[in-house]
Amino acid sequence: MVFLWLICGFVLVSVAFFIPGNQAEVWPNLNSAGIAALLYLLALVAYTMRKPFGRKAQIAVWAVTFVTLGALGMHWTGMDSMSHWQHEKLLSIRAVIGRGIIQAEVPYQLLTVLDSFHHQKGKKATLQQVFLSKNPGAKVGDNVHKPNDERDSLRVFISSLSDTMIALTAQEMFVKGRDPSFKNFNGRTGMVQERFTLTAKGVRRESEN
Amino acid sequence: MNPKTDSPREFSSEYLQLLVAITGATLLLVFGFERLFSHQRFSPDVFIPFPWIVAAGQTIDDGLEMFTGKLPNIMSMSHRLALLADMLVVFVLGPTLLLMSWRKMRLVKEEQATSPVRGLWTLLFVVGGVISFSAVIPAIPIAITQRSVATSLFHAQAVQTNKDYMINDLNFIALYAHQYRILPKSYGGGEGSFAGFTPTRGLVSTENGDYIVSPSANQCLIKATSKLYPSAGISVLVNEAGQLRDWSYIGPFE
Repeated sequence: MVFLWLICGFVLVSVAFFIPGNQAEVWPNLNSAGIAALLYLLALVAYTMRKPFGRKAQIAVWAVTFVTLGALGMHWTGMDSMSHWQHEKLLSIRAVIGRGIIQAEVPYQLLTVLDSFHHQKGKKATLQQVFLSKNPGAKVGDNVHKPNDERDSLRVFISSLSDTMIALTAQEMFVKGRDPSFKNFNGRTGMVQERFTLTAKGVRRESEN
Repeated sequence: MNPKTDSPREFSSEYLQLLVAITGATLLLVFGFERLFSHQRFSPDVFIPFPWIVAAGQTIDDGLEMFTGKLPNIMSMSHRLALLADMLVVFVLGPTLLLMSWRKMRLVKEEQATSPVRGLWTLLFVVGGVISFSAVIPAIPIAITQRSVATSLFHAQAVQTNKDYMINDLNFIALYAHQYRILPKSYGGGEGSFAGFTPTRGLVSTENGDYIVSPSANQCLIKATSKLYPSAGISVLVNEAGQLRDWSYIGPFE
């Protein structure tokens, strides 16, 4: 009878484990197997605690079963929700860092152009000419960001260039923004993107995703 | 005594001694396990009585991979099978041996069977008990403390998030202060001075905090107070180059 129960338990939990398939996360497999294991354990306790065990023993074992299963369940679901929360938090922290880097680098680049534009002596160059003097040969669609290291995933594209207006679109290559369906400048979808527009009056920022 | 009736010796001294011995052995196993593997990360290669800890580790690892721009790893089939094996040992093998052998011991006792048969079931009872208790004993205190740990973690993270958003707000104010200093007076600027810079209402009062800006000719002092945690604040200077300098954090932001 012990072997029969063991085989039934192994088969039940194993089948339940593989029902969700080979997903990226292992949680669906574990949760499915956990539910099967719970049903198995309740059946096992009900079977083994029949007579000749007395009422006191039955009550004690059922109480211990509920307390321990409750503790294990709390531990299990707590780890599930906590690890997913930490996962999401890591990504949102990365998005905040990404926006911070964009904010620290891109407007500074445009303000340098603005500063030079308003402090010219003699013949007045246009915004475009000033920008091109700092970024020789740059044209619309070019990435003007020099990566700080190989992990630097920021791209700053020239999205518009004219005598009176320069627009830079800063985009992260893997950091997800607010809208997962947002179409990014370089064709990706859902990544952080901010647009900065420079005119003679200053810089205007639009947080696009 | 009729075996089908309640027995007054359900928890005999012999049985209770056995239970205490199993608990002691399990505690030794648990603490020994902790000492042996405390320097290792929880991985599916090592048997642990909590397979969900491995799954949680994988979820957090995925987050870290994505944080650095890599694709998350998909757990290999061998690691999945190792997790399943952990599940089977903890939730099937251990409890089945414990409860079925306990029942058999009881029935053997009722039938006055010979000692070798009883010895075998006692051995299985001990093995099942050690396996089951190794999962149960640490789980109870962890379940009790988990909620308070989670609450303090959520709070700490909420404070940090508020701080990060306020730093972003300060960057914006610094940007507009720097721009004001660059722009000539004909464009509404300070023409080389921060003096007279008055940020818009939307800049000095956001959902994250309130900001007091004190501009002078060559620098601009910004003092921020959190709206969510009023005792928390940040103080920073914007220098002539528009850079944020002399950061200081107050209260929960320290």
